[in-house]
Amino acid sequence: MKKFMLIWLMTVVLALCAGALADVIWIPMDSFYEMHASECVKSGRRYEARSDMNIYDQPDGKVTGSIKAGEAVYLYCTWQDSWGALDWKNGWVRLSDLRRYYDEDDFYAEHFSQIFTVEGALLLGEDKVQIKWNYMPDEIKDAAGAQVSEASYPANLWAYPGSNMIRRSFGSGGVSSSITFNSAYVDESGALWLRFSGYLYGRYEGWMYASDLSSETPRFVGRIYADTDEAEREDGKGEKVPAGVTGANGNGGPGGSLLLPAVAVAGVMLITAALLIVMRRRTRTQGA
Amino acid sequence: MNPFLRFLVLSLSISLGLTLAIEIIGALIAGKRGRALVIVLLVNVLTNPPAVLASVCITGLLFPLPAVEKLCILAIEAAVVCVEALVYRSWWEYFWHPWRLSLALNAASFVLGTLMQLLILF
Repeated sequence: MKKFMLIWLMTVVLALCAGALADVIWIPMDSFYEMHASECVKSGRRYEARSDMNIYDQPDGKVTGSIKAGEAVYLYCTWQDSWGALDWKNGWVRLSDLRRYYDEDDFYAEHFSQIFTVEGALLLGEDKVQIKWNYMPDEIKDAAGAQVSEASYPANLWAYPGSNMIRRSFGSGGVSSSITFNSAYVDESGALWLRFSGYLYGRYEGWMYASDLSSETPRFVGRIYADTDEAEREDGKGEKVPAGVTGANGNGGPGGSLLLPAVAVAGVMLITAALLIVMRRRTRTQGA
Repeated sequence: MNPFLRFLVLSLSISLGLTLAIEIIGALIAGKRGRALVIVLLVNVLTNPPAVLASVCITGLLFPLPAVEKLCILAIEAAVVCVEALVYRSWWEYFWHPWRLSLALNAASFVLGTLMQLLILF
């Protein structure tokens, strides 16, 4: 018995260590990166190929693959402002062949002074969502007047105010839960945006348009690329950014009703338990 | 189908299928045949779905800290081992060492399941 307990404990410890491995961040596996890791600057940002371009095994090295014009790629890091190592794929690309997408970091840099610290939660009920405030600064009170207090599903999280990418959409369902917001931004038209971050069936991070939580049309025409000043979205819907590239898991969140699965599981348990009891009784009768 | 419900149904069926495969092979290796195998199968149908459902609820609803999540999963696994061992003990004529069998089969299932998850992740 002691031996089995020991084996059990060892397997549990191993399994817990293995679980931790799943959180390990990917790093490029090439000799160039290993030698120059200290000179590389972490990126994690999304770029678009300006034209058909090559992937190299190292800066100025052999061509190992290609990327089509318009294709989106993530860079793990950049080196000497001229090369970038691809994320989740070994290979190096010329930065001059890429243009970087405007992202939430750019948004923060540009609108830092207009972002306020707030505190609250979006309550995800069975059929409705509801905004609850714990702390609201005076500066946003006017804008907050136009927000919805209660709305129907879905509740969409955008990458940043003015983005055309929905990062995650919370669907309807039977389980009540909540997601929290901690920052607010009032856009040029005076509308309020709330920034949510936390964990609910996976990481959630993004901005909700407080006046229309379900909106699937970008609220306003924002910037697509970091290196251009003008808005480049063609039709206001901006399909240029491929949906689902960053964390757009479309997870319905707590939106699933647990009642149905719970009833089904309980049913299976009852039937199985009944079968086991009947089998036990029959075996005893046969034995007697 | 609602994405969460689809995720739940998939989790329940994949987990039950894998557990049954691993534990029945384990029971065969342990020399169990005939009715004993049917009991192993039924016991797993009895314990696996509620364990998976409880794990999904805990990991999704409790804003889990990784450590808390793992502790909860360990508690669920321990409960499964106990329930299965108690059922095996009531069939003493087929299972002479119910606790050992339950521990061994569940450990195999847990470790192989985790390894498969890692293989899928990487």
